[in-house]
Amino acid sequence: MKKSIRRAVGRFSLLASLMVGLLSTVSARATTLRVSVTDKTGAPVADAAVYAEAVGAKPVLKPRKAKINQVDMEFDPTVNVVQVGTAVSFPNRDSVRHHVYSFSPAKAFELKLYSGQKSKAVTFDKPGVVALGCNIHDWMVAYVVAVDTPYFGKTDAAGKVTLDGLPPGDYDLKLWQYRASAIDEITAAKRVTISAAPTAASFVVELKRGPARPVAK
Amino acid sequence: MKPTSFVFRSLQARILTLFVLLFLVVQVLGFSFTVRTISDNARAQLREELTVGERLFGRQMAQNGQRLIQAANILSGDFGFREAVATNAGETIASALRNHGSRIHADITMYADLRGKIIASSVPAMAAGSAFPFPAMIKSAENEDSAVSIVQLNDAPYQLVIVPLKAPVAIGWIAFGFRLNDRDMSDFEALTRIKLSVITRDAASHWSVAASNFQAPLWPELIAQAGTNPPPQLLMTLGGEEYESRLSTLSQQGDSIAIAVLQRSVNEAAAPYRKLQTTLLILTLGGLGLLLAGSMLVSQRIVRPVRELAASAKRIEEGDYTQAVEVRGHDEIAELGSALNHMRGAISAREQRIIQLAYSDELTALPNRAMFMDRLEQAVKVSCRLGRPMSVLMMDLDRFKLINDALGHQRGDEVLRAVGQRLAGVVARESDTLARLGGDEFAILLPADGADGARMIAQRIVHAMEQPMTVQEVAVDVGISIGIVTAPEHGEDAATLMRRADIAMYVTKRNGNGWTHYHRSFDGQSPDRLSMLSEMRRAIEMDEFVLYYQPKVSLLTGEVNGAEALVRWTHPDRGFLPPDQFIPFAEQTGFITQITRWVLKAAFAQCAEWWRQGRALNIAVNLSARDLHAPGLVDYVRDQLKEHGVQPEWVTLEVTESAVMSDAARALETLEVLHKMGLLLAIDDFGTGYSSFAYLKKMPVDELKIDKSFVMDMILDRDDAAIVRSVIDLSHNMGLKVTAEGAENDAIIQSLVSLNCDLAQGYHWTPPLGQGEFELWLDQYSHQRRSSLSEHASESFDRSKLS
Repeated sequence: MKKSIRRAVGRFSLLASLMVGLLSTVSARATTLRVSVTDKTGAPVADAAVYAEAVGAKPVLKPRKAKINQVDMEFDPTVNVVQVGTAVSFPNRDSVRHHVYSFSPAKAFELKLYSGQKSKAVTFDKPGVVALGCNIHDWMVAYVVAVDTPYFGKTDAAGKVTLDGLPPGDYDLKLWQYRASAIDEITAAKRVTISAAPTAASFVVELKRGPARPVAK
Repeated sequence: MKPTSFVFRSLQARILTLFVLLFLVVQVLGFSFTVRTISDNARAQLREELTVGERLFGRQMAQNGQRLIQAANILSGDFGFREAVATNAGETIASALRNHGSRIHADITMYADLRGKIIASSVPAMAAGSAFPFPAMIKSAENEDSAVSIVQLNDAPYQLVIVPLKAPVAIGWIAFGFRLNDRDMSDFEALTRIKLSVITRDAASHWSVAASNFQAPLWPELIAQAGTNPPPQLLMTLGGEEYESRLSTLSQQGDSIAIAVLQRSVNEAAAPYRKLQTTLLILTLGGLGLLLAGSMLVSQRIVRPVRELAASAKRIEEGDYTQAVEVRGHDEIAELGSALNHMRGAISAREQRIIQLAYSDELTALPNRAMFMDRLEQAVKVSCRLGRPMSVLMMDLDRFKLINDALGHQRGDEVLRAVGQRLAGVVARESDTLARLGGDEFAILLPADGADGARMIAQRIVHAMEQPMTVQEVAVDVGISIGIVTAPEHGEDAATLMRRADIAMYVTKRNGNGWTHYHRSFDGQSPDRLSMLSEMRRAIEMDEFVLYYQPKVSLLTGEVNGAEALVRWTHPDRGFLPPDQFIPFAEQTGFITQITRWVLKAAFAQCAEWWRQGRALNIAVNLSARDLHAPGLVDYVRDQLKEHGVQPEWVTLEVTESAVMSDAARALETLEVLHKMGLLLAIDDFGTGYSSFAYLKKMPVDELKIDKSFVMDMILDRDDAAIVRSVIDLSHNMGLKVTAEGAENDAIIQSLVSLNCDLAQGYHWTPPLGQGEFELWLDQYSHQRRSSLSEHASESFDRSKLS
């Protein structure tokens, strides 16, 4: 059963990447949305997934690929924002094996103990946050935020992210930060109207948990 | 001293009592202090134990919690479990929870999502969809990654653990609940000896015991005491036993509360101390015993020498100076001992001196009367007890007063000393006691001699005294009179013996026979006699004696040519006493010599007076045997004649036959002297004794007086008449005048005249008369005679007219 799912996901990813190619050709009028995220103390919040969903429009997504490496017994990067339908591969750059899994409703999967970079790709075909873990290294956590829009990003160390190529219009600008929310929640959302000029938006989030701290490996 | 009172008064008892009391006070204080300290300690320890227990309980719960957390974490980390819970719904999750929960013996399992909504639960009351009842725990777990707490579920205490279900981040909360049970309590008790109970109060304020080390029947008591919101520390009584208790709230949700009750049995905790107390008590008693023994030993060491000293002092008190106090060491008691020894010596020496003074006669250095009486009393007792005879010789010197008078007191003392020495020479035996009783009186105690021994000693004394004695170049002739008594024959007490010895001595004196052994017949009316003696002495001093005179009438001429002086006593109490009432006694006692002297003196004086008056009367005075033997009679008579100017031939001395016979030689000697002096001598009461005419011939006698017993009866009794006639004839033949006594009537006188008797006296003329009456009678008689003579002038004397 799992095999057939993966086949289906693969097919969808291919389709999605074709659609993204199409969209990029028509984004001449598009503009950018600059989002900055701070916590309540005003400190910049990094690793916040930020994405904008056009109101009333169903975006056409072309399949894409992404990689989540396992380096030094950590997922790298921790936070991955991907379009729905993105096939994510999990190259293992460590000398130990990893057993990547997810029980998240958006995408439950399991990559049993493996090594090397030729791992199977997992296509995140439903929007939602997926928490990834390694069954033999409990500290290893990564998040895949699958979004149903091509306009997404994650804040950098300065708490800023720029969403490009947004045609003017109304958007639901959403934010998820793993330190602030569970995977089935959205940390924050606001409606923004994008005009021709670049637009800015900001979020103030409440961080409930500390950053994923490095654990002795 | 009674032994009981001695015990309480003794030094030893006091020392013991003091020591024991002090010890007891110290011990009781110490004991009570210790007991109290122990009890305080026990309490404090109990509390400490409970505090430790409480902490331990808390830690145990915490460790338990940690253990449970770990177990829960391991469980929640199980991939299959995670997968099952994370990827499935309700029933599956619940079964997986039950399955895994049973692996760690959880009684309750629950799973809630991150928002606290129960997704699956083994507790029916908390069904899926309801809120997790302990949100605070979730809050805590969000921060700490886990939480553990005691909670109330279904009114029962549970230890509830919450761990996140990580996939790999927390997606929900898994709760495992462990009901606190009796086994946990038992484990805890085994570890700490603390009874542990958990009591709970439900929302309806109903208390119950969730778990307890106590048996169920005690639970109501526990609830009653612990379920009233008491202070956290208290003393409870369960099943009659006391428990120090500590209350600790385990959890509280609203009105529902779970309290841990930690309890420690006071008895059990005090048990080791009780053993200590018993040991202490035994030690105290043992110590008391040791103390008693020790202090007895010590006090013995102090008291024994003191007692010895006391015994020595007692011996000294009783007069035993022989035993010295044993002096040991150099302590105070030894000092006291040697002081006692010195005192003993000094007292002994002084007592010797006092005894010497008290019991010896200074003049002769012989024992004195006091000592003699002492020894006599002792000897009498011994004698009476053993029935062994003993004797006393009492003696005094004859004529000592004379010696004293003649030679002076100094020589008199010398005589006494010399006599003492002589007597001492006779009494050679140690056991015998020679004493000077006073004056010239000596006595000898012969504690082991009967009559024979005593007589032998007496004989020796008489012999010794016959040896010539020279005192300061003057030869002294010392006679001694001895009275002997022998006990128990003559008396069983000292006083009686002494009195009777005295009497015997007087008998000796009277008889002049050296010694006399007492005889019962001597005793007569001794008290009367003694008083009579003193009365007679007084009579002489007070001139109670008077002379009566009886005329001696010449049967030839009818003239009164003499008078017999007879002594009478006008006793102040008894009145007029005739001579037979005191003369015999005076003779017996020897006092007669005193009386005779008085009579001689008085008679001479009267005689001289009469001659001065022209009454040429020959005065006749009676002498007794004692007078003849008494020294100094001759001298006295001579002195008195001279003093009163009386011619010797005016005096006739009358002596009885027996007086002469008792010591004929001596009597004769005296009589010779008197006769040579010119005094006339008459034999009185002739015929009553045993003297013979042959003997009479030797005597220098001038006159013979026929006893009145012959004369009065001569008229009726021819024998008496013959005797009278013979006596008259024989006397005349020997050249003696004859006087008839008892001439009571005419017939007798006629008869006497016819027998040529020379003189007569008797009641025919007159009884003895006092001086005045006698002179009156004399004058009357002379007058009658003269007139009768003038009637018969120149007529030869008619003898018939004599009447």
